[in-house]
Amino acid sequence: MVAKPARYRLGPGTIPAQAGIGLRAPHYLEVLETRPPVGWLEAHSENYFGAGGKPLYYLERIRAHYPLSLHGIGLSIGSTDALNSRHLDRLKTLIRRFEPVLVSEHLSWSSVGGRYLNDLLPLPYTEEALAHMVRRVSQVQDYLERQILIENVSSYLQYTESTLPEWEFIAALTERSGCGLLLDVNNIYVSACNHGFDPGVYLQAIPAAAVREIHLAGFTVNRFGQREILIDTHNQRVYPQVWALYRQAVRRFGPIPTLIEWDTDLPALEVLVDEARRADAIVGEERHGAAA
Amino acid sequence: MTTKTIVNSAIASAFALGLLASAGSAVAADQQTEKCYGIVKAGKNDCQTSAHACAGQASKDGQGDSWVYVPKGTCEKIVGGSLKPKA
Amino acid sequence: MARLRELQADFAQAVLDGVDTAFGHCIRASGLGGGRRLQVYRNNVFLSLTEALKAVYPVTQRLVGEDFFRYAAARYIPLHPSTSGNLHDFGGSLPEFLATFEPAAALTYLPDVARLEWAYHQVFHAAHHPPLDLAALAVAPAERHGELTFTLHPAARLLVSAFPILRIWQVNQADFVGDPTVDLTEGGIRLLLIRRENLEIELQPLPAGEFALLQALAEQQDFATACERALAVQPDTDLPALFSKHVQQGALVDFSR
Repeated sequence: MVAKPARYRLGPGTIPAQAGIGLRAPHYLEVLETRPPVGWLEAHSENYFGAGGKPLYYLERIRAHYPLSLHGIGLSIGSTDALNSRHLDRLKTLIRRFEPVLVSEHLSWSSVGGRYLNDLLPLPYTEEALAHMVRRVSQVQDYLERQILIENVSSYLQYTESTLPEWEFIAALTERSGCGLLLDVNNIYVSACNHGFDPGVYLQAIPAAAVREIHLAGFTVNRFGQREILIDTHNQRVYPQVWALYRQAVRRFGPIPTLIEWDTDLPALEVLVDEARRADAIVGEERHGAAA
Repeated sequence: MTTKTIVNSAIASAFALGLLASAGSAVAADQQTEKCYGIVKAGKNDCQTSAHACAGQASKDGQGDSWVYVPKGTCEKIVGGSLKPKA
Repeated sequence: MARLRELQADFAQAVLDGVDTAFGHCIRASGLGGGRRLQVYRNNVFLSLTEALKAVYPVTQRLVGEDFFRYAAARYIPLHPSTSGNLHDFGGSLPEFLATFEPAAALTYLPDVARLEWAYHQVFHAAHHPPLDLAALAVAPAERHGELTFTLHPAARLLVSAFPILRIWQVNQADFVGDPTVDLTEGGIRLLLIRRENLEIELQPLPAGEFALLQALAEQQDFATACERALAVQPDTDLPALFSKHVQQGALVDFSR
């Protein structure tokens, strides 16, 4: 008999069901000085793991003006190594200090045998991996004493041994661990193209009540002869196909806090704000459409 | 002077500044001091998946193309030392 | 979990070590082959770790050029793998690696330049510390002053090199104007790197006596020993002036009896 997972709450405060943007170092000063009209900000947790200095200085000041989400890149939650207690400690310290509304990690692993590849590597979708992820997510939530969100990643390979589609794996993980979902709509699209599944089927299978956040970003198309592979590069505007999929997601899940992610070739802050505005416009149109 | 005298006068010097002058405040440093103002290093944990992720260049380095493995940067502007490896 | 562990170990070996395990058979080949798909991950892992090194070692990278740096990084990464999920922790052993890296052997100063860059990186992220408590120091009995030990600011590092690494560092900054030529016969340097209260980082060249004083204190030698070492290398060292300077500038932040 499996014990019912403890249900943890999110952090204090709320994140408006409005678009936010990723906070990146080159924009610190401009964000502080111009206070762009976005609903919230998301920071990469590990960038603030240092003991002091400018990153923490700026985050503290910026936090005073915006709701915050902390998005982890490196916990390696799907690894079969023991959870990295130093990493978790640093994360917990950061959470105590900045009181983020949302804390998220990835459905992936990045280390084994103590060696880190520092990349979001895919898990096989097996019963064994599912049981492992449920255990690990529960351990992290117990340690942090709060709910975490798990994000689906872009993937470039599938394992022959997988027995479940990703969407079923994710649905079971949220059900059994009590975690929330950070649904990356761009990642769904990228993986759908790379592996040939229907992204609409994916969206339909996701338990709506678990979705707490959505990510949007740009990707890059690479060609090998006749074949294409999409890479999740976060280096440009959101593609029209991904906006269309986002619209479907809004129809299904309602307005959800949505983040514009941009990492490589970071543009002017204004471009991110403009992308956020487009996301808000889609939510607005769907709301009116539903009312009409 | 004995070491003890030196030690005492050194410690005492901190008080000569006056307890009012708060330690750690900005003091004009030596002229040659290099100050790195305004530098905010980018966070290295951003998801910088490179657009070159499948260009294949990281595949089998160390084979052929030995010309790549000669330093070719601003080290050419550094003179006066031995440019040959020590035997 | 046995199978999952095996799969992850094989994946890491295939990516980091380029070891041709049976891992290729674990990848579904649809359209693109398993090898190609794995290559995407291999490239991405090496590229992002190399980017992390470039961010910490911009001057080292400029000195050797981008192609050479990438080649060195590709050698370094499997030998000194990342051991943290935080990329800011990665790359501390690059100076030692470069010292033994045969293709860079002619660039004798390169490991010291890399040491300077790693120290700068550590200082950038180091903890804050309030200034030294002068009131507490005032009540320490004068006859015990020689036995006091001091603590350097967590955001301070001491560095010594037989090469003019500060000059090399300066001429390789993006905003440098002037003659970028550096003459190695200019000689070595002793440096204090310190982050000030305003969070800006300073690189201070120090005379031998001043460096010896701080170095001894950083090694937790007592104050009398530190003073003796400073005078031994430079008899005209003005210890009162230096002590008050480093208390006031915040390099010395704490003491204990």
